[in-house]
Amino acid sequence: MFDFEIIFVIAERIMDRRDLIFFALCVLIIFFVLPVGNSYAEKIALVHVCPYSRIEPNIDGKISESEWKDGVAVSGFVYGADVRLAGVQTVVYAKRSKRAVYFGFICFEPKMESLVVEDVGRDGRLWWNDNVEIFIGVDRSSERYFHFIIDAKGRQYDGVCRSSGWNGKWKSVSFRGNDRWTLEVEIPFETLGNVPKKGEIWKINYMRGRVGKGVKDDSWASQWSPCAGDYHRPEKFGNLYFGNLYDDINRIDFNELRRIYRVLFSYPGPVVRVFVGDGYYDVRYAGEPKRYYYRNCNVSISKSLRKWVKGLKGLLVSNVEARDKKRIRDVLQMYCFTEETRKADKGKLAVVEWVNREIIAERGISELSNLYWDVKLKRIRRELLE
Amino acid sequence: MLRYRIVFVFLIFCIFACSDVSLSNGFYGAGYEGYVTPHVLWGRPWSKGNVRALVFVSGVPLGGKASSEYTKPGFSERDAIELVQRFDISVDTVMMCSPDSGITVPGRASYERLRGLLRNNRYDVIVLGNVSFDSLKSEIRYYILKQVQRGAGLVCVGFKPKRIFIEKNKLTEPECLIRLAGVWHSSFLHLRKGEGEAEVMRRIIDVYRLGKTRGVYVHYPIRPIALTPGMIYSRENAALYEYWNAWVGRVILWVAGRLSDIELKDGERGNEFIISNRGDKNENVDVDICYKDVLGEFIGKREKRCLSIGAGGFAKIGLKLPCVGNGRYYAEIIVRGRDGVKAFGCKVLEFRGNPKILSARSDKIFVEEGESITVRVRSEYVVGGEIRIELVDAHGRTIYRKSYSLGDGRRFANDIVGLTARLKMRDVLCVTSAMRVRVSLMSGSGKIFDRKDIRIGVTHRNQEGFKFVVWGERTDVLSYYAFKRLAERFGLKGAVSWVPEPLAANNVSQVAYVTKIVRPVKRNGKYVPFSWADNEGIDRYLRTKIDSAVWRKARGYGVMVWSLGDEPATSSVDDSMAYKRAYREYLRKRYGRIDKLNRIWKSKYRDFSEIDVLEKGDLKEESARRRGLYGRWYDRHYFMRHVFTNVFSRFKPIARKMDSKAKIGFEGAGELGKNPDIEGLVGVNDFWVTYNDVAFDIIRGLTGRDFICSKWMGYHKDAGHLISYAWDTIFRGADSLWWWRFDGIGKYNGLIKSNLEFWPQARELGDSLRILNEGLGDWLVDSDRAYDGVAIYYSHVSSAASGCKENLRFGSYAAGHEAFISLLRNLGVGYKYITANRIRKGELRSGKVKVLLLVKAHAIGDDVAKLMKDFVAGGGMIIADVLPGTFDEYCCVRREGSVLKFVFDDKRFSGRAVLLNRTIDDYIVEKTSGRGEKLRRRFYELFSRVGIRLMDFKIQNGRARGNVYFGRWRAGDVRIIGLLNSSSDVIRGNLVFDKMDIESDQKDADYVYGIDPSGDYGKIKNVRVELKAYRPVFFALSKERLLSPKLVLPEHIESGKEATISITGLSKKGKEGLFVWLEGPNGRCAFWSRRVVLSNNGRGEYRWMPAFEDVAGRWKIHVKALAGGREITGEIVKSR
Repeated sequence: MFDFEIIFVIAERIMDRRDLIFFALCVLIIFFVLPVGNSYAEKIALVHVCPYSRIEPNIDGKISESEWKDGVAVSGFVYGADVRLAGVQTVVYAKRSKRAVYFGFICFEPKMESLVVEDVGRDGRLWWNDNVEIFIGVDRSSERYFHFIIDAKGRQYDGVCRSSGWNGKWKSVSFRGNDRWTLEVEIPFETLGNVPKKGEIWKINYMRGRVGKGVKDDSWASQWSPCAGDYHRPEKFGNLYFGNLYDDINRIDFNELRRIYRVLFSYPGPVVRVFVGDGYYDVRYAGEPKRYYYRNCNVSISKSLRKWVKGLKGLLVSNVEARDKKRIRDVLQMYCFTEETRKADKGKLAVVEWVNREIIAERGISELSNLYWDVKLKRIRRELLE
Repeated sequence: MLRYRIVFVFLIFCIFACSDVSLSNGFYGAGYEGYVTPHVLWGRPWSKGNVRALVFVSGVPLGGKASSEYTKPGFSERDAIELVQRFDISVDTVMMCSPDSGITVPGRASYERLRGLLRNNRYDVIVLGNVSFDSLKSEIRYYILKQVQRGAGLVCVGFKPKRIFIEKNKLTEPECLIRLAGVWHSSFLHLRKGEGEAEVMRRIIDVYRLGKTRGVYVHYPIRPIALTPGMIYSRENAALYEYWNAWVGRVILWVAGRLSDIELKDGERGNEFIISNRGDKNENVDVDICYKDVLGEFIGKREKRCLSIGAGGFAKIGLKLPCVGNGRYYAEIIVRGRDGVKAFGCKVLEFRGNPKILSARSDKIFVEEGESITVRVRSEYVVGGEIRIELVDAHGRTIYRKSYSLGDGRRFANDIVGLTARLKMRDVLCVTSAMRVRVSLMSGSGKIFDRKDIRIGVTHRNQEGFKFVVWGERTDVLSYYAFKRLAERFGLKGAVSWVPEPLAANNVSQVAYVTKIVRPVKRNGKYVPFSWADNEGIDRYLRTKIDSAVWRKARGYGVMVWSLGDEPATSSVDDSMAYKRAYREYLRKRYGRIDKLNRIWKSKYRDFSEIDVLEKGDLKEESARRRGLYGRWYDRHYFMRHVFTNVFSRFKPIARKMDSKAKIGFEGAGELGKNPDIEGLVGVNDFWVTYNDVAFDIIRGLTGRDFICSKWMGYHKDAGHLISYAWDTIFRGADSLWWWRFDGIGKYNGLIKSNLEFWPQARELGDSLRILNEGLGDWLVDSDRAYDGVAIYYSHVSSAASGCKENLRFGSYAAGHEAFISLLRNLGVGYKYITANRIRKGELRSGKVKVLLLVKAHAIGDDVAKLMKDFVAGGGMIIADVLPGTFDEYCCVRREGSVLKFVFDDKRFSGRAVLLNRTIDDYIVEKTSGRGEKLRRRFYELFSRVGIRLMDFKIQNGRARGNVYFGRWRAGDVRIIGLLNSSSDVIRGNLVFDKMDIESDQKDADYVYGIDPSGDYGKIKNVRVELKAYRPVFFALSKERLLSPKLVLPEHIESGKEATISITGLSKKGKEGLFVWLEGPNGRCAFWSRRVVLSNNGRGEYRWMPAFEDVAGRWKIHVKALAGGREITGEIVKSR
């Protein structure tokens, strides 16, 4: 970027005061208006709403509807520097009572037989087992955070920042099902040394480690809020917002979120995504927060696929080999969601369906775009070499 | 109106400037202002204008799996910048995570950037430097071909795009790409029988037609850095690198269609070349010619000729080598017109006409300090001739020269003469690790007929003093510059690397990473069953490892430490007979009789030979722990750790056989949670660099200053954390800093980027550590850490017992120790560790221990408990967090409860046997809270009871004391005090000096000197201190006033004769750290002259071996004493 001081020195020399106002306006235009038209890769800051509940879950490792219906579930674990959705997903519930914060994990696992649960002792290397990790920063102004690891057998590791030195009193019990293992965690506020008020925002991140044999790269270490490699980076953590289950626009203090992420004043700020019970809000640097419902997830996914569908349909009418035309038709059919698929989703866990559809969309976009460019590449190669 | 236009134009410029910034990551153009390496301006400015290129470069993924998170980028990006330095080429670089993965680094954003570059820019040439075109995504390939369709050329190095470079479009290689490149004699391009130079070049290049443009496929016989072949560093290869760059630049210019009408060709005779003009205009050109030897050093003067060449005409130019001996030389030719360089080339010239040296050999490939080498020379006889023997260092400085008359040699038949010379290496400090013995055959008048170099290593171990060590096995020519930069900025002393050449040239020793002991043994490519308890097998295995050629070579240049790493805490257990035999033998030694073992184990064995695991397949005896048979479980557990101690004890004699001054140990591991046998390992090793854990403090607390000990660092990305970690490590007593992967791996930034620039955080770290490299580091390592009589008890069995269910409620063993160490460091207490064995040897009775801290000391043997009781009875103090000794030394629960309970209950010992009855693990979290301050005050009061006087640092907000750590060292009578701020806030306070000394009760205040920042405060009792975020301050305290140092200089010095410069007037009873450097008559400070000198008895010595190349005249010697920054400058005359 350039140096403001230099600009103003130059400006003062060549202009009078009236011109300076004009000049200042131009600078404002450059910094706040012109960039709006530019495209930029959106960064998403995540907020998990943690509602108050009178029902304290029985910490038995089983995630039951009755115990967790008043908790808010999030999913969409990602991996890698590219921030791609993990192939095997995890759902995390959160809620609080007067004395503790509770987390419920559903760890979907297609290879239950290959779970690794070796006994490494308390504060041992639990990350060598199938595990989940919780990072909680109770003071936003501090870089300090608590680190909890629980393996698929409910064994515990706890520490502060990178050190395992700290030990707290908290509960964790796991349960193993056929296609998933689940986990319930209770962390008393006394252990964390802070009782949150309504509207308070803590730092939070969840991580899932899969270490079994044959686990693909796309899910061996997935996180909720992407930390790209080094998971101990509190500045990259998401947020735990102590609010209500179906918080609406009037209840959530969006201005506070904007202040945290400087969305109002800094361009390009991240999109702040606030997960509530039935969907999420996207808060941008300008305009009102936008509401999305899980029940409409297919619609938004179809929208993101549409660009590629359009491009490929364009190729269908042009000079393309018959073999490629068939491939295009097959792929288009696979990723165009119909009314039937929407109906079939009803009654299922909304957040799970949402993330599954997102995964399909991501793969769909990748496949459609690859096909699109493959066809175009063939054509240009032919032209060049003939 | 004009003004508005100006403003608008300016603003629009600003917009473009801003948008360019976002793309400028990886853009290098004519205005490149970064780090500059030596280079020749082959094509700058280029007469045909600037060429814009998009260069793909690649790293290598760690472990072979393509992932941008773990990419080792190497210096591939720098290879493209080297081109920018030499030619009028602007490049955008794109880093791929591996040559054939198609994944960009660091991720999606870089992919978007690449797409943007290809869509929005027009390039003259696209270069894929060791990147496979076929592996790129379809979209990127499409855009590359789109650029080619628009007229860009395509250069592919290393990988052939199979569907683009097809046979039917193959062209004959143009002569300009295969001639006048000057590089065909490099060691890997051997001439085949009957093959000419042109044929050799044809073997590495294929040319194709691509629509209207051209494509070139370059395939070197070795892996390229990116664009040039990745040759291992040597001075010869560094010289060759210049010509490879010239050749690659020519390829790019040709592909882009930018070669001018002026052409250089070989002449008919070997020593001439032809300049031809293919254009239709007359050209007036200047031809610059210079000659260099194989090491890239200039010979003679530059020649300049002005020519006018008519359209279609040519001119022949002869090359005349200056008066040189036999050998190979390079002639560099650059043809310049009015508008820039028109043509360039390099020609290899061989001269063989003189009498020659037939052979020159030394009896050793390396030499140690005090040793001699014998050089035997056989040469053709020349009347009145002589043989000159020189010693040349890695910087090209000749530091020794002696001539021998051929007449004195032994005459053989056919006029051959033999000579023997002996060279003694008196002082290795004055030479580099990589040296050359240069043998020259000369005429009586001083003309050189022939020259031969013998490469030798001079062993520099760099074991003493402060050390900065990195991990990075980089080998190529560019890595030499990386190590050079690290040596200049960080004072690099060691590197974990497999190739010593680039290190030795910078005087950096190797950390020989001999093997990874957890790795299964591989023989003939197959893993074979192996037990780490089989002594014969271990010996055999280690011997083959250490005897390997790689380490023999490394040893010559100097190995700092021999590392058998890492992960010795990894459980090594198997069910082989060898393991069982060793285990039974161990138990026999431990128990003596089987009934004793049965009592502890609650078993019924009749003989030790019957002993086996409790449950089949449970080799770690975890079932015994579950059943409460802790004695049985612990024996197995300890033996698993003991196995590694045994491996190290066997490693030492094997390594010592090769290197008599070998320091043996390992780096890595050390997590207390895994309970390594710390006492055993420090007993048999000489160094241990752990991961970040309290184990480091225990190791430091158990070992002396000659034990190399530190913690790995380099995992953070922000300067604050890095600086804080580095200084914290120093304050804890480390003698070195070890940085993992200086060249970075994907998410870990490293110190140096792929373009040889420092990361901003690394630059800040380097600035912060500057004082360490300028003497403080060596001074601290040479001093003793302060010890106030506080000993912390460490026992392996207690550590193991903390994992038993009876003790789980007390938390981990590591947490307790970490909290106590943090507390002691906050209070400024000098402590050490003590073990049961040391207590048995009478360390508690020596009077040096005043307070014994029992931190989660769950297991204490009867005999040790008795000695502890005697210690309290004798006036010592015991402080325990939780009730100690509830287990015995066999890890069995004591039915009667704690063995020390009666000590705490005894009223006689009231006030000296203190049971806190709680753990203080929370202190780590609470140190800046009121509870933390309260705990500090309580311990302050407890320590005062036994006469320990602590430092007093008064700050307005007492809680912030939790963020301040103290470090104290003693260098004779001079004391060094350091304060470190571990927080991100500035802390101000008043440091009171007169309370901290436990040994003397002097009433007078000391003289106080600031080290960093420097200052002379006079005789004061307290000083105001401002601690910046994450940074330390240091003071030196002396009872005597420290005067300005004085220099005792020799009247004059001459080349090749060692000069000793004495520095006097320093502290007589204390040791001082001095930083000395030389300034030449030209006003330049010579980097090789920068050295730290430590004084002894008020005197320091600086030895200098003036080289024959050092300029004659008045040299300045600068001396800076760190205490107070007292400086003195002297002058010395160097004669020719």
